[in-house]
Amino acid sequence: MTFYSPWAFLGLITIPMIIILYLLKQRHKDYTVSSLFLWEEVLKDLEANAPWQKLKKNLLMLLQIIAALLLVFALARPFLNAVGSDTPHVIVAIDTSLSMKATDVGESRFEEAKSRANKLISNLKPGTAVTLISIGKSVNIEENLSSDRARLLDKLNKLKASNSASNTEDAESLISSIVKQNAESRVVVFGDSAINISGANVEFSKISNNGDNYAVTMMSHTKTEKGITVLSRISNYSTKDVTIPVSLYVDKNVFDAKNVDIKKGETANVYWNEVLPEASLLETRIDINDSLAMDNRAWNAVNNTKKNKALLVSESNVFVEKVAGLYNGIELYKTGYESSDEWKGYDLYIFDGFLPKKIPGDGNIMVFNPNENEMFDIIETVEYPEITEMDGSIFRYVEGFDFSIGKTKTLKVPSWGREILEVNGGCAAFSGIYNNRRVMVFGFDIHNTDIPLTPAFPILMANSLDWLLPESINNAQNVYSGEGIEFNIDPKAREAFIETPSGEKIQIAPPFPVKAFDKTDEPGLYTLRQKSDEGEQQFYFTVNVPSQSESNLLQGEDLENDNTKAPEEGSQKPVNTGMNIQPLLLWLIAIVLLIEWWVYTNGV
Amino acid sequence: MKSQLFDSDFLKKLEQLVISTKISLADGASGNRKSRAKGSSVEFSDYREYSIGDDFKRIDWNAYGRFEKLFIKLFMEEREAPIHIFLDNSKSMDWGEPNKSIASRRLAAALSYISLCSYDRVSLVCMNDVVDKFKSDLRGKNSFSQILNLMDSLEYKGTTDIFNTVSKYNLKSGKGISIVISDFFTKGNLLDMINYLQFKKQEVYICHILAPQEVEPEIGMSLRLIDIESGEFRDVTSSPALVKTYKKVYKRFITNIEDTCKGRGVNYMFMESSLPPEKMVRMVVNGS
Repeated sequence: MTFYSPWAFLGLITIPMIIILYLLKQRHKDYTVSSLFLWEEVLKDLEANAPWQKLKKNLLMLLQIIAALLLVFALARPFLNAVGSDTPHVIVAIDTSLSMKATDVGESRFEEAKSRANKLISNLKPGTAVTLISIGKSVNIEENLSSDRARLLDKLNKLKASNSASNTEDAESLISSIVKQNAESRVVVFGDSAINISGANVEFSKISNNGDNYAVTMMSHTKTEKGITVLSRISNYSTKDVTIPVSLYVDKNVFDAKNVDIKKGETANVYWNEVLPEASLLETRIDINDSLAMDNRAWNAVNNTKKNKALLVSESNVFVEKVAGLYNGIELYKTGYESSDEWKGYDLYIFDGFLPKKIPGDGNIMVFNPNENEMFDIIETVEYPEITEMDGSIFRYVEGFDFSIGKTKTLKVPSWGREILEVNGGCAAFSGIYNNRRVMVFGFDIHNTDIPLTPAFPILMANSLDWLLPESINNAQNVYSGEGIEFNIDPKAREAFIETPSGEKIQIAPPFPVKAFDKTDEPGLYTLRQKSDEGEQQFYFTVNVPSQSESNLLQGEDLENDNTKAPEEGSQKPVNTGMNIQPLLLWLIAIVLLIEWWVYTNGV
Repeated sequence: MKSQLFDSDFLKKLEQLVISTKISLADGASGNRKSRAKGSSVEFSDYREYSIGDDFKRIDWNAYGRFEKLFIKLFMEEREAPIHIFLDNSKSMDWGEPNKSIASRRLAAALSYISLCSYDRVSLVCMNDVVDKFKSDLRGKNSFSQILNLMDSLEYKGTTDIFNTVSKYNLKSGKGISIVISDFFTKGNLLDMINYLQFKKQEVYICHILAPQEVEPEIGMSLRLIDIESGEFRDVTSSPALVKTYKKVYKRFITNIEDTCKGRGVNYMFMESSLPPEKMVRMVVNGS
């Protein structure tokens, strides 16, 4: 037993005080009686009825001493079995991932974790520093080395479970580094998947009741001639075979429903054919009660890609013209060097051997063999230079690519640009974002190289056009909750908003350039709205819960996609929160006082 | 003491008592009223349990057949019976409010006076653990002053041992009446005393006098109870259980004495010291 407030034992001084008070009180007043004849009988009778009669004389005093002792013990805050109570620093880590929303333990796993953590923190020795860490998509230190119990509990209570997967690797490295700094740290993890930290004893409070769960683990679509074909993947993370009713919603209306038989631990693919090609939002739902409701729905966005308009300004460049014409998603227009004032409304301008004095006010720019201009400086012209370095995404998929240049201008890389090709003597090509517009400059005429003759040429061009005409979203159109999304805002756009599934509008631009958008905890359909002079442009993307990693609530079952690591033997042990005996003692005090009251009134 | 104990009011009341009630305790040698003493005349009076020394001839065998107990028939007897009044003057009697000593002395005096007025022979014996003082064979109203003098000079001392002391008093043989006045706070055997008195052919009257504080003790706090006779003490703390047990013990005490008396055909009178003397006297005369 450990006493957290041993100073309370000073209260033991009350016990001799009680005895002294009784001694003072017990002075009997003399009273002469005619005879003790009857009184002796009375006392004999009393003793016969209550064998502890002699004790009884002091029963009230004894009860008061017991009550005082109990009170002193209660104030001393005794804890039974409080192992590790002397540790000066405790790291409390709480899993806030999606799987913690499962309702197979109490109200939810997360509430249970909070309640256990609350108990642990409340039962810690006063003065113990606590670092509170939440492990979700990102690992956050909610409170660092704090011994303010109220503040810690407040922070703990404010924690919310997210819809994302837990980032155990980050958590492990963060906790490891804290443990390295504070060697005497005690690590307590509340969650459903274990964490291993080398060199530290991790106490793991496993919160799982192996609840049955069914999930939509993937959703995808392809466009066919007959419309859209949708694939929904449904997983059965339970211990029995089930029939799951699955429905597909197209633009929030029911499109079709099916019953799917899935054996335990298996996954079924459900195909939906001939979905209307104009559809923009697809949603799969499974209508079944399980431990985790969040993963019973999944969304998929369909974006009708618009064709980008590109203007090739060239006297005669058949190589570029051919390749650009073949590039999917480009509607290519061609013009000569004249009438440069009218050039506007294109997504991409390709200038070959010419740059107008007045650069067009919109669209991205690709330049070959530029002349003097306002955007960047030309240094000199070199012949047969040796290529010293190739860098950048345009050289993707062309490893070992070798080419020669007959003549090129060397360029001064502006502050907004990045060199992509270096020859001896200077920069031969660079790319960069200038006034929210993507610019790629090559110092040479393509005819003065052997590049068009190599098989790598179309790849190089495709890479370049990919960079110059990006999708609105850099990564996938379907992301998981908590993941960040990088947008490529149309150069013509003046404003850009995101509309979340709950209808909230979040402005992401201006300012430019646009930062990554990470408020993606809520699953569902998000709409990117870009406003330009030409009107509003919409782009859909969806956020789904990471069901592949979070939906399997069965612990120890070797199911597909189970990313939980088996803890190394010996490194994990159950959490010891100790047993606070104070409430028990307070109850005992109440009982003793009740007995005392009863003894006093009944005079036993 | 004299004026307090036996004032003229008290004596007047005694006179009235004698006149208004046709009191007779015993029919003395020169008395002409019917005695209540049981004898062997033809007029049947009562039954009582057989005790050693009784005449076999007087056993009622019919009653034995019915109850399987030996009973003796008593008959009205017309003959002289001297009256003995045994008064307890142990220290315990000098206690209570009103004081038991006053009540008991007034009762003894009244009984003596009535008996003297009825021309009966009166002996007054004051005793504690020994026979302290006595006046025997007093006759006539004139002797009453001797009784008053004795009582006035009576000191309360010693312990109650009246049962043994009675037997130490040399009771003259012959039928008579014995009245014992005491609080009976003694360990001695009441039955032995009754047997002795009945053996001496006495009709026994037991006057049990207790102070109201002994019937209903007023215990308000932690007390050290000190025995007035021995000086011994016991500590008690007031509690409902204590009062309850006292009442139980008190009732047992009274019932024991009462039952013993009833079993031996003895008249038992319980009196609180607050009772007026004339009422006490009536109780004795009426035998209840």
